[in-house]
Amino acid sequence: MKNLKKTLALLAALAMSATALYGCGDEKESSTANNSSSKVEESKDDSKADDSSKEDNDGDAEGDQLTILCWNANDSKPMVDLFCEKTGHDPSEINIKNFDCQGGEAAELYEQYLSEAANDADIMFLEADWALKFINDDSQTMALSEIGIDESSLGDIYDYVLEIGKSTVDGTLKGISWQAAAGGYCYREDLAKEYLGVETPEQMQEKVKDWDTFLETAKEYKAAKGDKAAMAATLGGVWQVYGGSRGSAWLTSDNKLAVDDYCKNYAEFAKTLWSEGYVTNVNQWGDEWYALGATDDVLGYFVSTWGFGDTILAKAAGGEGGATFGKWKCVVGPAEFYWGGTWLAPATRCNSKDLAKEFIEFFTTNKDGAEAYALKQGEYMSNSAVMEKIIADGEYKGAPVLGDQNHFEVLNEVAKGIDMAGKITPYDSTIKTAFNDAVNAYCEGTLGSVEETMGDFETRVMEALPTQLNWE
Amino acid sequence: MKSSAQNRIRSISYAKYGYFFILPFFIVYFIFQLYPLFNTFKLSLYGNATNPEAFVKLDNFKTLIFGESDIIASKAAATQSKALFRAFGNTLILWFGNFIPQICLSLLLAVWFTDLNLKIKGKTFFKVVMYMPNIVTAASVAALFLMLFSRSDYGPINSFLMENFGLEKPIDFIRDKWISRGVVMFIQTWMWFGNTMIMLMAAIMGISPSLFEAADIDGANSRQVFTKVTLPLLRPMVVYTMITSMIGGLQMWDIPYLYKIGTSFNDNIKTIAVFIYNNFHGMNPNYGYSAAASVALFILTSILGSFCFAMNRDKDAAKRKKQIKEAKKKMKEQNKATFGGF
Repeated sequence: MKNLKKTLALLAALAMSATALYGCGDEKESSTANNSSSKVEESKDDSKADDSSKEDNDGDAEGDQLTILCWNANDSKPMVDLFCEKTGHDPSEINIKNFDCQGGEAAELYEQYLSEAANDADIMFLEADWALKFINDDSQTMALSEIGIDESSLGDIYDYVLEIGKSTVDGTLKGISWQAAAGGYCYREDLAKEYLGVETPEQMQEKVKDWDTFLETAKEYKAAKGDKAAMAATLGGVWQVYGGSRGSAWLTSDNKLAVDDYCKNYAEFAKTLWSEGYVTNVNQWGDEWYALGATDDVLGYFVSTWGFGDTILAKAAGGEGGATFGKWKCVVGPAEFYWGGTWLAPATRCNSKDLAKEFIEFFTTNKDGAEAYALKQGEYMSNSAVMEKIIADGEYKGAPVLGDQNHFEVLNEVAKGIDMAGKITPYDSTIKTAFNDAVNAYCEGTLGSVEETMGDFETRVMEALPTQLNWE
Repeated sequence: MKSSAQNRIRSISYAKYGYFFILPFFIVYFIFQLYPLFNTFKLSLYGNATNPEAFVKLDNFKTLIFGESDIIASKAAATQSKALFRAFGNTLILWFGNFIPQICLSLLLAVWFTDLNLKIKGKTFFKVVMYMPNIVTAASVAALFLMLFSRSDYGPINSFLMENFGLEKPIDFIRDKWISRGVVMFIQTWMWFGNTMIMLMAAIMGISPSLFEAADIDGANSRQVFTKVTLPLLRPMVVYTMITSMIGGLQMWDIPYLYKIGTSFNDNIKTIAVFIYNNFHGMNPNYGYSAAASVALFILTSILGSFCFAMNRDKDAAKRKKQIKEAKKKMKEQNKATFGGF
């Protein structure tokens, strides 16, 4: 009996270590497949060769679907529906691979999915914040020209949209957005009239045409209204505009963090706005933030194309029939900016190139397609010719929350004015978050001076990107 | 003489079925616990960010603990190390700040609820209500507190204070160094005191009532009963609570991670677990640092755990054991002397 027990114990121990070791070995194999590029590229090269041969034969690979990677179906579903309706493609030809998560989490899930060479992917939805992670990686995305979309055909697309879709490694165009997420300053018409004597959006634009005037107007507004006279809802909103209009990139040419007067000026500016009450102290995206719109405590919100519906402004106004619904107007504001947007990029393993080309073109260069989608979804498209046509036709009346103003006219101006050439780096979102955290700490009083704030900013970036940037 | 069939029947053992039943646990354990554990050790020796495949030996530990590195700039290495030690300091502060009030409160309530002389009404009701916060998920708790303690003029607590107590500026419950720590400590205490109380009560009820009766008859007052009878006999349970709480406390992640505005973390409540998580996830992951910090935490937890255990060991029992051992040794020697040569 004793011997039996001993044997069993030994067996159990052996089984334990065997399983553990088995696990190690197994994972090693797959992890090399994940990481080492050689193996993946090998298989990719194969598939590429396959594709081209198939293409020579009969265009699309038979039996293969166009697989679209996305993180929710809010955009992809209506897009596919419209695409199939207008072009006569059967919905079964397109497979929406929906990861059903927050946009920010999608990058990680895409990587996991793509690490398996057998998983199909043709078009990827990318968020501007992390698009470069894939766009700069030739093993994940390929140039638009490789699926037959020539850069010369994209003349009508707003410049900044193309700029963000370019690889920062070699400048090839790999992604394009069907949206132009340009934004403007939306203000309460009645409050502006009462306290600032502003009658029209043109007059209001004069009052907020740059940051100095913006601050002047904030002072004037507070003097007239007294308590609870915030010019903008949150510092976060102001930052979207200010941060989007930086004249140079966040990194210098030798990969060092660029801390210049622009950063210092913003820290001072933010501190003034915060301590004088020109912005409220609520949290962006919180319930209180939305609730502010129905009160008289705040004059304006910074809103991007997608924010005129329930995402920001209509909800803040209390929905249809709400307290301030229809009392808002939109102007360009102190600086042209874009906020968000989704880019489409062909995956390197794309094996339905023709269909991918047709799909991407349908929402960008195809004027009928883009117009149909704009009208169907109320979306601001990246094709300027289409948007100008819609404005000229005058059938579209603008977002109902703005009363009778067509905000497309304003946004067209903003979108044309955005200049992102040479200002994009792969680490923008991390750097901006760090900068914002430092400036917030300065506003809250944790940091004493602008110099300290810049030091804190640098430390935060150093903590997040220890190896990626040059810290010598 | 038994037939061979009879022999066979006798040797049938049902024990092997037992192993089949526990097999699923072990399979899951190996895949999801043991293997990741080994893999963490492995990853801690590999590189970060742009080249996670590079074997860097102990450089991650060197960077995190000593702030020096052969790979990255010394400035950047020092920042990493500083961030880790700040997170470690936060973890200790938050753990002490919630463990001490928690154990005091639970002990007091456990003694009250088990005291037969007090005759508290609705004991079960109180026990259930006090245990309740532990059932609510941390995510909901964090959402609730974030809403209550909103730092704006419109936050429920701030607007209440401003209207009724003439507070001029709203209190920053979420970002202020000590106030935010206080709130996290409070949440942790509030969530866990019910659990600790139930465990201590079970331990107190396990003490033989005759001891309490004897103390009563001898004229001990309630404080004497508590310090001379309850507490010494409760020690194993207190030690157990302390060790589990310490392990949990060092790994504290949920509330410190969730109690923030938007995506910007409050550095004053960032714990080691949050440091590990943030380095592992997100846009620019540093697997090496993350794994190295995990390994360091693992070692630290083991050391502190055994230290706690050793400190609270029953000294009398240990002494007795030693005496028995010595007596045995003596006996052996005596035997040897008596029968020496044989």
